[in-house]
Amino acid sequence: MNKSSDGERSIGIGVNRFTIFGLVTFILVLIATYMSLVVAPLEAVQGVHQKIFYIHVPLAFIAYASITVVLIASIAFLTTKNPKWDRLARISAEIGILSTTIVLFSGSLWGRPVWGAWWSWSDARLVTTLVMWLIYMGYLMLRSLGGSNNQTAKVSSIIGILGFINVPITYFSVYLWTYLHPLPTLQSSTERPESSILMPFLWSFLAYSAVIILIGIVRIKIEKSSDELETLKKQNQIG
Amino acid sequence: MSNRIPRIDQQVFRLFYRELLIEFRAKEQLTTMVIFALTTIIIFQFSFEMRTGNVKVLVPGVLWISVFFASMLSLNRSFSRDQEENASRGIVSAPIDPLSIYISKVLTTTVFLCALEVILVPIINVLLNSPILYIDLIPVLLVGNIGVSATGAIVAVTVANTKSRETLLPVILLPLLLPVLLGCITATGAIIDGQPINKYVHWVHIVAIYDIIFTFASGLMFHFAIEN
Repeated sequence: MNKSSDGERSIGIGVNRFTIFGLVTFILVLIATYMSLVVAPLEAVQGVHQKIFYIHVPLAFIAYASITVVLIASIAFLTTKNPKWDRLARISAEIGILSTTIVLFSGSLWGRPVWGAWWSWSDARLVTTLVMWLIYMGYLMLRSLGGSNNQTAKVSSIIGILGFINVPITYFSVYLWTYLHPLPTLQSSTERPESSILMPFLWSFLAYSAVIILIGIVRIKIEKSSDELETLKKQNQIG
Repeated sequence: MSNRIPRIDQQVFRLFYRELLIEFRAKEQLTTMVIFALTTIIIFQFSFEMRTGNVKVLVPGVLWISVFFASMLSLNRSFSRDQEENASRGIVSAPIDPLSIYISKVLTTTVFLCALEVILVPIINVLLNSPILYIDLIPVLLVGNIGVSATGAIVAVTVANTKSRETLLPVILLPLLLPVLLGCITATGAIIDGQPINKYVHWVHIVAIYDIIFTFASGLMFHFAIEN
């Protein structure tokens, strides 16, 4: 593939940097998969089913981080009116929805053999995570049906901020209500977590964060090009 | 004639009075809400009686779901009416604080929901043959209505200019209102079951905290929603 003098393709993605980052991400995923499936020991009670946590927990952190980015970008857009913040909020919401969907799905896969049920309505964290998913699906529907204009961007920012208020409830529901969900081993144990468990978690966290960042970069470039195209179209219509 | 801009409390009162006057003349929103809520209760009765044989355990859910869906009608109608008659442009152009518009909408919706419940609660008592007329229910109804109104007003104005506002409003609003729904249903169930106040008062506190947070946040952001 021919490259321009500055190394950028016509759609604005730096092939060299992007390809390298993609390769690094792929290697990280391989390492994380090896660490979690082979190196990490079998949990005494849950057995092999516990291994799904090496996907579930990192993506849960990513989901919450994405929603936080939506909040920050929404506030920044409302105060500065800079469209780049709106673009960031939109993409972060998509990433948050993707991550939350995988979290809910993987949680159900774990819950079926361990709890004997795909779902538990008495678990407050499960319910509020589902609520978070619903709120941000509504956010994306608002974006889709509202059209690509400044007013939609503003009102979406408002919903993004209000939706985030639900996030602390999701996180602190472990401490507010009684539930079936197990206590997070890495945080609640009074003993230092063994490195055989901690290291696979860290590698998984690194790998899936890289995957999400990769998706985010591609989406940002596509959205930026799309917005530039819309601007050009409007200029041609006015001219 | 004085050109002084009214204080914010005066603005709120005048806008609130306007909403009540429109409803008093048209008799549209409250009537629709009552009929819709009544229909919902009847459908619930038939749906669940066939399976449980004891609908009384579902009374808290029936009450609050009916109220929530009726509030959708009220919120949708309140903002769409202003848009149809171009009144929204006049209100936004007037030299009034957007916060007063928000507060008046919240007050109006809260009053309409309270009026709805004054009619609905005795009807549930009769139709579902379930004692629900307890004085302890009043604070629960009040904090629930404020929560629905405070969040509903900001969401209704955000979807007002979209293609499918009637569809989008419940899709966006109901997940945001789930903490209110959970708290109010649980507290209502505890009151009906005759539990002591310490068993459910924390739910009232949770909903009240939700009301404060969402009213504050929505009030801060309302002017972004209505400015062009």
